[in-house]
Amino acid sequence: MTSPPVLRVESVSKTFDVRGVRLDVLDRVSLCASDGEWVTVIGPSGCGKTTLLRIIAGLLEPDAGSTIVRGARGSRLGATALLPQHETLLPWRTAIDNAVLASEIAGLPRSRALGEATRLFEQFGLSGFERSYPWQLSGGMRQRVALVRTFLSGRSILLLDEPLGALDPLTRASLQDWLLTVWSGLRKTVLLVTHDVEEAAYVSDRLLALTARPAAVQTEWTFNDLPRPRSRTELTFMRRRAEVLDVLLGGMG
Amino acid sequence: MTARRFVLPVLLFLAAVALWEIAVRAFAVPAYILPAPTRVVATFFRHFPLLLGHAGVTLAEILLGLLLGGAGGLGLAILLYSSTALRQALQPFLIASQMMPVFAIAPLLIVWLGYGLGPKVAVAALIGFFPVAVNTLDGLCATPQDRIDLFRTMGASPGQMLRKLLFPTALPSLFSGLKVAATLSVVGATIGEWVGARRGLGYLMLQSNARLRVDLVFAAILMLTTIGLSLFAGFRIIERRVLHWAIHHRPPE
Repeated sequence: MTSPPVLRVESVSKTFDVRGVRLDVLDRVSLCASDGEWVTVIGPSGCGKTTLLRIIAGLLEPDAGSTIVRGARGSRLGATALLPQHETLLPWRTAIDNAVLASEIAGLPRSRALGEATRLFEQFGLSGFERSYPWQLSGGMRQRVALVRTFLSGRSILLLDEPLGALDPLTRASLQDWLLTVWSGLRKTVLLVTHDVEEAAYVSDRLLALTARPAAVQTEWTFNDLPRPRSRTELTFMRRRAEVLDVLLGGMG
Repeated sequence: MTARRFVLPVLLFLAAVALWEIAVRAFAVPAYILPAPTRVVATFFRHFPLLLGHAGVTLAEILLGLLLGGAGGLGLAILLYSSTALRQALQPFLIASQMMPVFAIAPLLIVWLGYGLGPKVAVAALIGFFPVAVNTLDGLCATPQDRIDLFRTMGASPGQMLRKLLFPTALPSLFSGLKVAATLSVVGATIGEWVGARRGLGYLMLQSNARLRVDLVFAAILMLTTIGLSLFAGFRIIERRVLHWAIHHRPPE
């Protein structure tokens, strides 16, 4: 917590105009993440979590407030690695070529990227599928390829938008473990958006709960008392999880 | 099922040809009005070297026209895609250009470009470029916003966006346009030759018609049809090889 934040969002507000109707989505949301920290944002569906990530990624500009990525206030496009909610593999590229796309665009040497991708494929249980096309892979595998692509982007800040949302609970649990293993090996800063309480408590260093729209930060937890690797059945973990759920349910009125 | 898909058209074709043959013989139609199919085929093979020589010229016109029309159509589509102002400014003229019969400009093209390959290539290109431009533009516009956003967050340059995302996305539509252009450019080259030429299958048809050699006219038509079908089939084969991924790909909702 002593290192300066690599990502700082300062009272960001955003309002959309949907066919003449004002839609307040974000209301002075602030958060920060230090180098190598895993910060999770949780909140009810449709509360504006994705909008927050899109603002941080540079796809949207806030109406008020500021977003500072690695100390720079300028364009944020290309400064972070975003994993969008919907599957975005390119159908004309093989799994491994999809995985190295971000590093290819960043102009990193291809042979090194391919080597790292092969290693991560092994770690993510994708070995043997390097030359497969997305249509030949299951939903879980496609999502893992997209995760590898995000990790290989050469960016140190990863923005993950409900990356495991569409998967069944068992696949999701095992992917959370994979994610944590890869994350602890690469020491990247992660900002995860999710609506899954257990997932949030299982992976995060710090957790922010947002209110329903317009989203404002409701509560913030630091999970110092949950040493890694965590166990889903350990008592402190279960208590923390219940605490978060309590707050979220209370927030929904 | 597949066998029937081939057998039925072949049977229909043979029946039609047989009917033609019987009718010509039964009513003793003179060959300078309508030659029997057997006679057309006999002429086709007897004058094969002559036909082949003229076919070579016409094929060159068609291929050059396709190349120019295809490249022009692709270029225009990219230009129109990248600038809304340009799209709005050019759209009416683009459509108006298609209302203008190419037959009408063909004589002018002869005046401007001479009797050589030029005007024929120009007609073939003019007639083929529209379907390529319209189809490719549709394909470019169908690029999912998710993917465009993803490329933006990766910090992709406009050139990278075009090469790695937009062009592959539009490739299936480009091929649809090229297949239409291939059939149209056969017509275009023939019209170009009718208006003024010293060689080519269109020229041969006019000459033969004037000398009441209707069998040679039909033989030339047979040759043109073969060229058109081969071009279409060629594009189909290339398309299947290049776009193997598109056959299986179901675009996400």
